[in-house]
Order: sequence, then C-alpha cells, then structure tokens
Amino acid sequence: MDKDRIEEYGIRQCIDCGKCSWACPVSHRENDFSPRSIVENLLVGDKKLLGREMWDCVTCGTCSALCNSNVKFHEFMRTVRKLSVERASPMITHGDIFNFISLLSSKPYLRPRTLNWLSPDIKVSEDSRALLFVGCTPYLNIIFKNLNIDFLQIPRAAVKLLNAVGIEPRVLESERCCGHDQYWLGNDDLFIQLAGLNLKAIESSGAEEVITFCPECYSTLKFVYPRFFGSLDFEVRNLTAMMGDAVDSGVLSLTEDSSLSTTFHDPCRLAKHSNIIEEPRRVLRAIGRFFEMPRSRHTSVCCGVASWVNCDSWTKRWQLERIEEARATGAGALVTACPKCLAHLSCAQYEKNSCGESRRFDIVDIHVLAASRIFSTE
Amino acid sequence: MTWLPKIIAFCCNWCAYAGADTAGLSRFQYPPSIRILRVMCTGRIEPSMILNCFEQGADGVMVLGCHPGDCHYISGNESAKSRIEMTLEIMEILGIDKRRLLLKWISASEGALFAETAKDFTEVIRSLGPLRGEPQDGQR
Ligand code: SF4
Ligand code: SF4
Ligand code: SF4
Repeated sequence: MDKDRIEEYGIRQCIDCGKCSWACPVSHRENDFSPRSIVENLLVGDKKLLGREMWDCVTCGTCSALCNSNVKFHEFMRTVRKLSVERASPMITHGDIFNFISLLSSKPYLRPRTLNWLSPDIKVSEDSRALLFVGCTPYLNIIFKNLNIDFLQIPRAAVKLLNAVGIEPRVLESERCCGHDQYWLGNDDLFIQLAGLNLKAIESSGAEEVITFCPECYSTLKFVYPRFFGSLDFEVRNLTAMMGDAVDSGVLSLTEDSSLSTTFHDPCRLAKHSNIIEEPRRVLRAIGRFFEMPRSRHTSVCCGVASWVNCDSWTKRWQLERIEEARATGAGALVTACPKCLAHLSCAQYEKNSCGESRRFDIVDIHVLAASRIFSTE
Repeated sequence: MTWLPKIIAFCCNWCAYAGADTAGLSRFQYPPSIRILRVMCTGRIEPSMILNCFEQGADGVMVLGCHPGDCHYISGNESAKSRIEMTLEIMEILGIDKRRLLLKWISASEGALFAETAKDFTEVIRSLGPLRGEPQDGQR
C-alpha cells in the first residue's frame, strides 16, 4: 500500500494504545483480528493485509470514534479495499442482489420508480424547499418479505413526522441508490456514477435541503458526496436528529405512554460516523421509559452486516446477543433508526430454531414509533 | 435489418432444456434471439442472476421449468415462482418493464410450446425495444 494512503488516515499517529482493539466488535469475536496490530504490522513489519482481514472489519467506526490520535481506521480499511478489489473478494450475502440493484440504479437509461410507498394520509408537496430522500427501503420491503415487517411504514412515518412539524416535503419521482455500500466496498466508480445522478436530480429539483431517515443515506450524502464533488448546494439533515431537536424545543409533541419502555441500538452510521447520539434518546424519553444498554453510544456494536458482506452463523449469534442485551435492560422494545439494522436484527430472530416464538423481542424503527405517538388535538 | 433482441432463457435440465431439444429435433423454428442457459433446476435461479442478465445487456429473460408437480427436485419450480415474483417487484421499482421477464412451464415433450414461447416472447421484447433505450437500426 502506498505511503500517501497510509498518511491520509493518520495511521502514523497511532500511539499503540490499543483502545481500537478493545472496542472493535470484530476483535471480540475473532482473536486474530485487531485494528491495532494491523496498523502496527503495516508500519513496522511492512506486512501485507490478508484478504480476509480486510473484509472482516464492518467499517463501524468504533475504533476511530475512540482513538485519541484521530486515526481513521475504518476509512483506511475502505481504501485498502478500493486498492485491492482485484485481489480479494468479500463474502457477499443474498446472491449479491443489492449490488445489482445499485448497478441497475446507476443506468441513466433506466428511470426507477421509487414512490410506491406514498399514501393519501400523508402530505408531500411539489415545491417544498425540503426534499425527503428515501434510499433503498422500498427494496428491503420486497427482499425481506419473509420478516413480515412493513418497511414502507418508515418513509410514511417520516413524512408524517415532517408534516407534524410543518414540513410538506417533496419527493423525487425517480431516485437512485445513494451509493453507500459501493463506497464502503471500495467501488468508487459505481459510487461516483450513482452520486452524480442523485446530485443532478436533487439540484435540478431546486430543493435547498435534503432530509434522510436512513443513517447510511445521511452520512453518505452529508460527508462522502462533498469529498468527491465539493461542497453541495443544499443542506443534508437527518430526520432522527431533527425530531430530537423538535421534541426538545417543543415544536413536536409526542404523547407519552407509561407502559412503553425502550432501549436504543445506535446505528454505526448515525452514532459513530455522524455523532448523532442524544437526539434519538430525546425522542424515546419523550414517549416512554428509556433504558440504556451497556454497549451504547460510541461503543455500541454494529448490527453485524455492513454493505451486505459477511453474514454467517457467527454474525447471527452476534445479533442474538445484542437482542439479549436489549432484553436484559428490562425494556419492552429494541429501537433502531436504520432500516438495515431493523432487517438484520429482525432476521436473526426469524429463525425459529434459534429464537422460539416466545423468545422473540420487539424490534422497531424509531420513526414509525414516534409517528404513532404524534400528539394531535383533533 | 430489424433489431434482434438479446434474450436469455434459463432452462431447467429436466424439462425445458429437453423441451428445447425436442424443438430442435422436430425442426420447429424459433428466433436466434434466444440464448439458452441450462440450470439443473429453476429453483437454483436467484433474483440477482436475472438482474445480472439485464445489467449485462439482455433485453429479456425467460425462466423455463417443469410443470408444477413435475419438478425433478419436488418443489424447485415453486421456489422459482416466488423468486420470480420478487424479481418482478424489484424490476418495477428499478424501472424495468415487467414484461421483460417471463416464467413458463414447459415439459420435455413440449417442443412446439418451446418454439412458440420463444417466438412470442421475442415479439413482446421487440415491441418494447432495447432495454438500453436507443433502438438500433432505427427499429423499435
Ligand atoms: S486507538 Fe488509535 S492510537 Fe490507539 S492503537 Fe488504535 S489506532 Fe492506534
Ligand atoms: S471499523 Fe469497526 S469493525 Fe472495523 S476495525 Fe474499527 S471497530 Fe473494528
Ligand atoms: S442478517 Fe439476515 S438480513 Fe442481514 S445479511 Fe444476513 S441474512 Fe441478510
């Protein structure tokens, strides 16, 4: 790996403290995986990364969030992947369907129709200054039918929440994948193609701000797009954060239900990549009792599968452990703010042999939950 | 010259592939737009394989297998059916016309049906034009 790339992510600043390996969820499960030793080997031993090591990392960013030397290890991992795509391939899930969705999304000759979730009870407008970016949730609804989750409730809830704070967002008739997974897989060409098409669509819509409920879309649009395309002509905002603030300032009132108790699974892209941590908790505290899991905030664990790579029995165990951790807090439901976390965590429970019907635990999306508690005087 | 679509036909080894063979043996004509890919069972076909065909330049995809109840692997064709339904839904959101994917049951003896299906499907795709938009040779 060339020297410049090493410098770029501050790898040389590593003081060998080991906090990253202490926190890394993968190191907990695999004795021979450690971000610190990868850094050390690269710097001192000039060792090459093994293909597997490079895909083991879930790019959750826990290591970087805790590192006191500002080493951006997860970004470094991404670059390693980018420079090595020819040499090692990841273990992909679901027959690579999500990759093909991204690929076909990137074709200018196709016009995706992503508005199948609109319903008459929610208000969207054609000339709003705010645009709701929906992302791949409509695809999840098809691919994960077996989970019996109505994923389309999420964009609907998002509009409901926005309506409740006086925003009637516009929506794009034809939206393409945001490119998050392609970026983290190191597939820059496809990422740039997707991002370029999305930017063109957003810019020609004239929207001044783009709101996303998906943390992956948020972190990608907010932080990654400018890296490739320079500063954007519009603001990017995350809906969970907006709602947390709106609850705080009294703009949004949610009705409390004393029988409701929740705990929160911080999605990596929300907590560690975007530092949005308190806002979802404000929402949850407003509607019921809130319990914290031991592994939360910056040391929250990943849902187990990032960019549809490396799902196996080991990952499922990791997810079931997470659900047990949530249950042990005494909360009645595990809340997340990411549609993919919702899919992955629910999936682990789906298999009857590992989780009998009675052992199933409620896993819900924060927007859907909050939208069901909008205070109305009618 | 009229534009000839590129069509991939996934044929299961036990019924549709043999059906195509019967069509050949009986000298039933069918258009050269069809490229056959033999799979052991339609149950092996994943939505991503179909999307891959479209990505690689196919204008249409056929999945041809044994009649219900006749699957060599008991219920492979049933799982194919539900996967095709899923693929159709994905295609709809992606903006690919659902008529570009066809699922049909063709037994080993139904050579005529194979040829007829290939002809009819080619006509459907011809009327839709190339997936990549620009019709070649000005034909649609
Ligand atoms: S936390 Fe940072 S400084 Fe400490 S070992 Fe890891 S990369 Fe090095
Ligand atoms: S990004 Fe996450 S999985 Fe990867 S090394 Fe860091 S803490 Fe471990
Ligand atoms: S956990 Fe479930 S949803 Fe996630 S990649 Fe694995 S099989 Fe798919």
